[in-house]
Amino acid sequence: MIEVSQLVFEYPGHRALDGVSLSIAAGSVTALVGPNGAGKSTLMRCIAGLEQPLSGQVRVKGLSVEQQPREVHRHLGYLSDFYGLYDRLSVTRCLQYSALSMGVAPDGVEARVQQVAQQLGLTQLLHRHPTELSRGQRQRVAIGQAIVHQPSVLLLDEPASGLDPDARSSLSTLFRQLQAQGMTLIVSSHILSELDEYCTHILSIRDGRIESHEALQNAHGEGQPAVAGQQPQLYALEVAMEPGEGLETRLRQALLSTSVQDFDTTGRRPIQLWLPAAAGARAQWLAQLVQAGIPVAALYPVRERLQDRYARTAQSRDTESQEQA
Amino acid sequence: MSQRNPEFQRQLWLNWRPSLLAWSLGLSLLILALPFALSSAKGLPGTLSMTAIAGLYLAAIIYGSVLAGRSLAEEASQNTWDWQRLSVLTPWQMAWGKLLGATLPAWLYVLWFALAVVGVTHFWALEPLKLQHTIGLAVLWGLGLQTWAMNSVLMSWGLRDRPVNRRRAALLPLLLLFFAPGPFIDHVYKGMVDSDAAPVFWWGLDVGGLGLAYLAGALILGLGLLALWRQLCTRLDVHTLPWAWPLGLALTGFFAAGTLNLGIAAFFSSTAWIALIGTAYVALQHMDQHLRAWRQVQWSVSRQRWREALEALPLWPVSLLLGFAMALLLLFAPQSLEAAISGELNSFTLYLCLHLLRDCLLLTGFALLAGKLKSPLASFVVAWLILNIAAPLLAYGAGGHRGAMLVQPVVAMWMAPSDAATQAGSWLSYLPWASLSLQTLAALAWVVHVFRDRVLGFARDNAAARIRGS
Repeated sequence: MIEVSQLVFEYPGHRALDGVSLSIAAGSVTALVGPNGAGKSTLMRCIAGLEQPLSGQVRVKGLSVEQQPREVHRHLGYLSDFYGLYDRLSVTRCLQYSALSMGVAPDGVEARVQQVAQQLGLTQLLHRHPTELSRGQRQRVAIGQAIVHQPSVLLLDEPASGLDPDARSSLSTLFRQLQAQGMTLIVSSHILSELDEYCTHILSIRDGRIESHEALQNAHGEGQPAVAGQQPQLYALEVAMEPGEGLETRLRQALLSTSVQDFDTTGRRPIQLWLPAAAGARAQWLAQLVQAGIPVAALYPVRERLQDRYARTAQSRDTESQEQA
Repeated sequence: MSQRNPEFQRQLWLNWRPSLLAWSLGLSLLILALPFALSSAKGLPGTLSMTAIAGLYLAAIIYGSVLAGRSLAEEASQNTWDWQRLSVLTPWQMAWGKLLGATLPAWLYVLWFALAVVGVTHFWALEPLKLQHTIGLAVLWGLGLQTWAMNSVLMSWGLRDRPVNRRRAALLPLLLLFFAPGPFIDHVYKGMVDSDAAPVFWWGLDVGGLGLAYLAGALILGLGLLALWRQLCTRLDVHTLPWAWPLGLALTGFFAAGTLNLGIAAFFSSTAWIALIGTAYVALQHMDQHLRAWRQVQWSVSRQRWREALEALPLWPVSLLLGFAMALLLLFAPQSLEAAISGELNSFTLYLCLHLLRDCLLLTGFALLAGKLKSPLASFVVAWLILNIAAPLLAYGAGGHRGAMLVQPVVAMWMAPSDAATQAGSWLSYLPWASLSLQTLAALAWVVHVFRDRVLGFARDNAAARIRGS
């Protein structure tokens, strides 16, 4: 759906994007993560055609953003982290204008506005002006403007910043709905826990370069890239902990050869660990665990938290750089 | 019409409501009632007529310009321009949608005051002030200045991606209002009231004062629309070849030359001068974009994408090329203006072109540098104030006319040569050429050096990125 090739973008005296190449699959929800100044917003603005890169190419649905930006905009919605609304128009008019200016046929505008208002819970606010709305409501109006023309691609830059927990929760629901409709989403946020709920991929960017771009494993162990068959997958292991039996020592001993992601000594949380993707190897490992006298209560695949994935990527980067040094 | 243009529709939503009819009529009547209270019965028709005419022009020009400018300034203050850039509206739709939609209240006042002018003239059977021209010129100049109000807001944004709302944007239409119609007001007045007024020639045709005012109004409107379209193309990321800028300069030159009535040489001369002024303006105004623009040119050329390279080209080389072309044509044109003025300075425009090339190269070089040196102020001070004013004056003090010629030939030409210099013979006439050519070559070499360092360095980085990617 989105192809970025060798993208270079510079602000005066600073290279914001340095040879970025990536490919985003249709129907995916990609979490764009990275520290401040990493180039997340610039990358989004380049994809949206709002910034002109020095070199490289961006294609959305096969259309060149550089050559046909207005045509690309028919298929693309974008919500900036610093958006504004037409304060002198009512919410209805804001949505109507967005639909018309995005090329929706005049006959279909009214129906489309009602659909979007219903989807975003704006029906009661249609007659009000943006200045009369709360931050969360304004955010919903802005998202409404971005999706009113039913784009195939939606780019959202920090969509949840400044929102209360309720508004964030409804935003997550909305994004899942949009994905279910077949929309491709790229969402940038610093709050990784909220991206956890709906993202299928993670794109990590640092100093203007792609650090990692991976599919996230879902709760059923699906979603890894094509090479996932050989890669370990994250599992939760529940153990019937009984105090005073030296179980923890035995457990630690048994897990020595395994990569453990999270070990809670109190036993309240399941142990998270990486196991081979092949069922046979996993069964063998489990048998060894049981033979070692570990009372296994359950073993099931889990999805790695984005926060952990991001920390792991950062850790491996630091290790690499230390080795190089 | 609003169905075809969402921007016009939006402006109607913003600016039109039925009560506006009543409000504008009421306020207009209130203004028109003032003469009844303030003037004598004898002077009432004249005062009323003048009040209506003043209201007509103020509504069309001042109020209309304020509303037109606000339609764009509001995008910056409400931070909504990104939505416009993301839309599929064409620059032309955006231009006329805003221009005609945002100024609707002003045109309502124009309507009421125009009706008042017609009514007063007929009711008191005043000497008809050529009514159709009074109203026609108000509409034409009003529209023209409204386009420039929008242009000035766009220009005040700079070339940053996110526009900044600046109050100084009001300056340009005000300058145009005070200076542009100035030369015509006397002509227009005489054209209106005096049927025996002296003929006014434009390219040898007697167009009269009114005709000249119409021509100037049409030029201001035409150039305003052209500039608005071009600026909106840039702002809305619609790529175009750089033809609008030189066309606008040439049209201005054509109009100015017509008023001089000195033949084709005047056209070459005035166009060259206007092109050079335009070159200096865009070289400074767009300085913060030079690095990016030249890099895009280099990247496009390296991939043999010639059209893209032309689209990315900064505007100063385009207008400078026009200036050079006109200066060359001037050399061979009969009745050259310069020859008419001095008898000798037929090549002065060429000197000026070369001089400006050197200065624009210096500005470009500064723009490619990093840090404070790339600020327009620093480069303006170094390239223009020190090199063009301080250095030739110092050289004149130290080495006389010959010294000034060596440092800055164009400025030295305005300084009186000493007798000795005059007697030095014909070799002296080659000195400015040699000096200016050397300076230009030195500036070019410096720019090429910085360009290779910064721009070709970028090309190497880019190749390295490709290798990393593969």
